[in-house]
Amino acid sequence: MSNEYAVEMRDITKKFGGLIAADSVSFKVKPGEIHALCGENGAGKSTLMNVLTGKFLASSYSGEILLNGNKVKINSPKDAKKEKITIVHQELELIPDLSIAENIFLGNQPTTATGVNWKKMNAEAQDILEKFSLNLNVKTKIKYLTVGQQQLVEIAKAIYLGGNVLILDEPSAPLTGREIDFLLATLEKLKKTGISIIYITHRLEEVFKLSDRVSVMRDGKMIDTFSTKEINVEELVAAMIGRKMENMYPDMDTEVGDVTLEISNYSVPHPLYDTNIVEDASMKFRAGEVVGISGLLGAGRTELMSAVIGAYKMKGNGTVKLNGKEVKFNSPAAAIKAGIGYVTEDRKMTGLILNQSIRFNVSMASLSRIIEHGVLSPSKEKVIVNELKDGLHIKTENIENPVSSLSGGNQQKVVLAKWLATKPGVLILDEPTRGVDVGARFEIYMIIKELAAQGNTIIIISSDLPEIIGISNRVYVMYEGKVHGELLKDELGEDSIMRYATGIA
Amino acid sequence: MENMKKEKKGLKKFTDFALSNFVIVAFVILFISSYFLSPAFFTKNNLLSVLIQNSIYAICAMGMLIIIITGGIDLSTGAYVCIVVCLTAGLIQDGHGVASIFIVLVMALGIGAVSGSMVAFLNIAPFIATLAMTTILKGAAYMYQTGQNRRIDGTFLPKWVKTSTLGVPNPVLVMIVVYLVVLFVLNRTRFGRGIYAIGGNKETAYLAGIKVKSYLVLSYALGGMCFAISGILLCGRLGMGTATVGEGYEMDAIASVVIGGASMNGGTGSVTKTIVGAMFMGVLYNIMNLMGIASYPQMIVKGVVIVLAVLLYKTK
Repeated sequence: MSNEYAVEMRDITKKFGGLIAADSVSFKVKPGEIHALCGENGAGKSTLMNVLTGKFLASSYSGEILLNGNKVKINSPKDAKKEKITIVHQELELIPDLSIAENIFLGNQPTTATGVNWKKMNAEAQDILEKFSLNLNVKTKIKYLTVGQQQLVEIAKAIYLGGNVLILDEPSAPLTGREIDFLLATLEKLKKTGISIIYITHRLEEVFKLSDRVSVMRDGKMIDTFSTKEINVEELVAAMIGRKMENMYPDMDTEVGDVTLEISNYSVPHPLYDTNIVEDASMKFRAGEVVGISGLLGAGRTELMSAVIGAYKMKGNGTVKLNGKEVKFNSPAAAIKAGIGYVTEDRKMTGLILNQSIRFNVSMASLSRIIEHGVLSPSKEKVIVNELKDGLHIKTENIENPVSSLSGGNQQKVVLAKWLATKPGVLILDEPTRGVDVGARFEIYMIIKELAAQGNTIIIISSDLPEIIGISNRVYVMYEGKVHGELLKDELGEDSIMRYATGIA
Repeated sequence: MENMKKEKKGLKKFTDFALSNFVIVAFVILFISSYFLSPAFFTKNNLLSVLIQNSIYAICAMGMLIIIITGGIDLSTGAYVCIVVCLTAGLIQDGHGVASIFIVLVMALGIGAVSGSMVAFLNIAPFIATLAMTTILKGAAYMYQTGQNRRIDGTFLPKWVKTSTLGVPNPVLVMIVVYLVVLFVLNRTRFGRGIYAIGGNKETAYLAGIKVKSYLVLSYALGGMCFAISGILLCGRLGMGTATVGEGYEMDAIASVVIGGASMNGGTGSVTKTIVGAMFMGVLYNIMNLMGIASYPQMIVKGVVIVLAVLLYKTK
C-alpha cells in the first residue's frame, strides 16, 4: 500500500513575496508511469518541480513530500540526487567548452592513479551515445552541437546518471520530428524498467502519444489529473486555459500578391567542413502569403534564411531579389533597412536583452523611427511601444518593467513587437512559438495571419508539424541542405511533409 | 492594519530606492559625518580643492563608464594621462598655443580608435588590448620626455586651469560640460542606446541592426578623449610635462564606476552615479587626510569600500 506512489506531494504551497506560485498543490506519480504535466507558462509547473528537486529550502514552503510512502525533506539539489530524482532543465546545463564525454561524466570521471582515465571515459561515453543512437564523436565540444543535439546529450546524461524519478522539462522543444519520435520511444523503453517519468510539455500531441496520466495546472493550482486514455485534446486544452478553445489555428483568407522575396540557386558553405550546409536552394515568397519552411534539425533552414539576411557567420552565394531588384545583405542592419525582419529561434540568446526594460527591447531595432532632429525622442518611443504592447496584449503594467519579469509567451511577444516596430514587408520567424503557452500561441498565430492579410510576406521556420500545417499557405521542405519539396495548402499533411523531410519522397 | 501595510510598502520603496541609489545615499551620509568629524572640512577652500582635484578623476571615470557599458574595460587610462601631460607641455613649449589642446585630443581619439579596433575587429580581449596599449603609451611618453625640461609656467594653460568662470573653477566647469555631454550621448543618441545593447547582449544587438563594431571603436575613442581631457587639466595644474604621473588612474576610474553601480559585465551604468562615486572617493580621502590618517590605512579603507558597494548592489 505504501508503495502505490513513487512520488507524492501533499498540499504544497510556495509563495514568492505576495505572489502564490503554488497553492496547496497535490501531485502523485506512480512507479513506472509517464506522467505529463501541462499548463500555461506561469501555471506553477516549474515551481512544483523546483520544490521536488531541492531548489528551495524545505522550510520555505508548506506541505510534505513522500517518496515510496516515506516522508522526506529535500533541501538542496544534492538531497534530490540522493533520493534519485533527476531533472533535465529547459535551459541546458552543459558546459560549452568541454567535450560530450566530459560533460556526461562531469564530477564523476573514471580515474587512474594519475588522473582522469580518458580512454575509459570516452569509450563509455561513446557507448551511452550509441545506446541512444546518437551518431556523434564524444570528443566534440558541446558548443559545436546544435541545440537539438545538445538536448539529446543532456537527456542521455540524465538517463545514464540513473534515478527513480526522471523529470523532463520541455525536452522536445528544440527537437525535430524524427528526434522526438526517437526520444518518445526511448522514454517508453525506460518506463518499463520501473522508472517514473514526469514530462512537462506544451506539445499536446506528445501528451497523447506518450503519457499514461496527465495533470493540469493553472494559476498555481492543480486543476485535475486525468488518465490520458479518457480525455481528448479539446478537454485537455479547456482544462489548461480554463475556457474552450474553438480552433487553434485562425482561419483567414488572404489575397496573395506579387513575389516579394526570391532566392535562387543559393548555397551556404559549412562553417567547419568543406561542404555546403545549404545547397542550391531556390524559393519564392509572395505578398500576403504565409510560407512554412519545414525539415529536420540540420536540414539547413535556419542557415539559409540567416545567411540571406547577412546574419550567418558564413557568406552565402546565389541570387536574392527583393521586389524584383537584386540585393545583397552584408549585415542584419542592411536587411532591416530593406524591410526584412528576422525573429530568431532562441529568444534568450539572440532575441532579447534580458537586463533591459520592455521599452528598450521593443524599440531596439527601430531607433530610426524615434529619432527627431538627430535625437531620440522618449515621448515618441513611449507612444510606439505602448501601441505595440496593447496591440500584442503584452501582459505588463508598465513598459519600464524588465523584460525578464515576463513569462515566456509574453517575452516572445516582445521580440515580435521589436520586429513589428521596424514595419517589415517580409517577416521571417524561426520557431516562433517554442516554449510558448497555448493562449499566447493562439495570439501569435492571429498576429501572423493579420500581418499576411495586410499584404506582408511571412516566412515561418518551424519543427512543429501541426503548427506549420495549420498556419501556412504553402510549405517548402528541406532535406540535407536542399529544397526537397514544395507542398501546396491541400497537399499539406504530417505524413507528406515527413516523407520529404526524411528524403523518402 | 491597512496603515501598517502602507507603511511597510513605503519602507520597501525606500529601501529599494536606497539600494539602487546607494552611492548617493552614502555620499550624503559621508558628507554630513565629515562636517562633524573635522571643522576644517566644511570650509569654502577645502570643498573647492576637493572638487577641483576630483574633477580630473571624475572625467576619467566617465570615459571608463562608456567603455564598461559595452562590456569592455580600458586599463590604459593612466598611460593616456601620462603621455597627454608630456605632449601638451611639449606642444605648448613648441609654440603651438591653444592648437596643442586640439592636437592632443585628436590624437587621443586616434589611440582609442586603435584600442577599439583591436577589440572589435581583431577580437582581442579588451583587458589584453588595452594592457598592450598601456605599455606602448608609457614607452612613448618616456621616449618623448627623457632629458627634457618641459616647464610651461606662465603660459595660457596653467593660468586657465587656475581661474574660474562665473565663480566656478575651470576644471570643475570642464567636468560639468563632459558630464552633460556624456549624459546626452548615453540617453538620447542611437550610439548610447547601442552600447547599452551591446553590453547587454552583443548577438541580439547585432541582429537588431546595431553597428556593433563601429560603436565599439567609437566608445574606446570617446573614452580615450575623456582621459586626454583629464591629462590636459592635470598638465595645467602641474605647470609642466612629466612622465611620472597617471599611475593608478585606471583603478580609481574603475572603482568610481563600480561604486556608481555599473556592472563589469556591461549593459548597465549611470553617468550621474559614476560622478557621485568619484566624488565619494574624493571626500573619503579628504576627510581621512583632515583627520590625520596615514595614507596606507587609507588604501585599506578604499578597498573595503569597493567591496561593500558591490555587495550592497548585489542584494538588490
